[in-house]
Amino acid sequence: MSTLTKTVNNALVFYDSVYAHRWYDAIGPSVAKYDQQFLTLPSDDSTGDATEWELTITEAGADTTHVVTDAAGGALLITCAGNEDDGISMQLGAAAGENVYLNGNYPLYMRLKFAINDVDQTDILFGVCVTDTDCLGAVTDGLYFRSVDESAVLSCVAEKNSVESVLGAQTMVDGTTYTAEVLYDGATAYAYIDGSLLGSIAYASPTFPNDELMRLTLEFLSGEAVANTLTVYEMAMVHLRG
Amino acid sequence: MSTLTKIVNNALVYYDSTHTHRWYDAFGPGVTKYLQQFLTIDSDNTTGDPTEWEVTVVEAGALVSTAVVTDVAGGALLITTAGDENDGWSMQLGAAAGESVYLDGDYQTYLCATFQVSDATDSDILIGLTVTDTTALGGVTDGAYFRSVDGSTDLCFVTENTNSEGTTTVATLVAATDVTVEFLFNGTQVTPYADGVAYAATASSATTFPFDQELRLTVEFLNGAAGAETCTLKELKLIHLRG
Repeated sequence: MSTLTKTVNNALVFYDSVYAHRWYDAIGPSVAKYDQQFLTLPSDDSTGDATEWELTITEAGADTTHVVTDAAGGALLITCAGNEDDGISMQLGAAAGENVYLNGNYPLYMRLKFAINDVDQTDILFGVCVTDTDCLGAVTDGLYFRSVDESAVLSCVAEKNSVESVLGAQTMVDGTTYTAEVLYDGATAYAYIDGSLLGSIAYASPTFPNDELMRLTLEFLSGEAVANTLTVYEMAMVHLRG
Repeated sequence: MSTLTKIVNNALVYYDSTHTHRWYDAFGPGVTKYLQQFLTIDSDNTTGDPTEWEVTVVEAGALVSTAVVTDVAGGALLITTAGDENDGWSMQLGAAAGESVYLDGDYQTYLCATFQVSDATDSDILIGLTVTDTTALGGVTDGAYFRSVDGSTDLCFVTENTNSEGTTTVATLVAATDVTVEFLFNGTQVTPYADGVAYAATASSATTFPFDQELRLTVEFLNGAAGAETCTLKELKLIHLRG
């Protein structure tokens, strides 16, 4: 395994020699990217809230937190307050900030490396969605991974105008690290868990979100009256608009 | 001089053709990095403090201790101490927690800083990797870092494990003169450099090598006498390959 380069839509893409769908970075015209290993995270001095993200925090139980933690290579630790559905929604940007538009041959790669302490007593959503402070409650358009309370299954979902299709699913285990990825190559979106293909969806599919601007989204909620945790080791997105 | 590439621990590393220890960037699996030229720095809009760092400010004397982006070609962070001895600024990357570098195996690591101080004798500076500690210059248990202390212009490279340290003098600081310090851990030994010149390496098997604690990027600058002193930090780079 090593790191190779290739040109995609006039950009130089750094990708994995074995997992060729795995993009590490891109340089070139109209490359839009967010690459975060959580060595640090810009945060407000007073509140401690991440300042690059629009946050919606639910903490009926106590205090929902999201802080950089001690982990080799860096990590973000999200801890829910103690009531069911306490947690956090994070959308990159501010109140507005939809910047991903899959309206043609504009490739998108995204990756989340994470672990959940209790996979069937939590809800998680990661991917790109329209602006919505409660995507897990229901979102109209998006391309994302989702696991809901009372299930350990992580699914990849494509959704347009509130009609969704599931590309594939995998059962998760408590405290285990997973790498969830999507690569949209301009014609088809492919979903992967730990490097294995889950499924795919074509641009022409009626559930492919090709007519709405979207934004990078992470949401994590507790599914019980326990302070459950999500540890995020990596979050990456590369979108080629050139 | 040009920029070349090579594969290190499955990552694509960009390095200097002349100073081959000098890494400019890396891409690939398990690459973690912080590359900062201080064109800007994320700062709180109320306090002005850098928001990517856990900051400890000491300002017993007149005025205040500050760290702000300043006017310098290529970018720089200007750290200014308040007016008493030991006033100054400590910053550790991350938040209250944030130890992210672990030299517990073949996890190659490169660190570089270019800086100058206003008074080489009457100031203390530490730049490198340490465990979480708000007063690393006062005594830190584990780390690999460059250090110069009040009353001396010697700049030393220090490896430290459980309060046992090994030191190598790598430069003599001169007031208002840039120095570039670097170290490269290649998985078996760490080699320090000052202005491109290599100094004695420390093996990962040495008793002072900090292999058993997670560390974090740390900068600390203190005044060594009455009167404000400054440190101008022109670049700060860390690349750690966890792949």
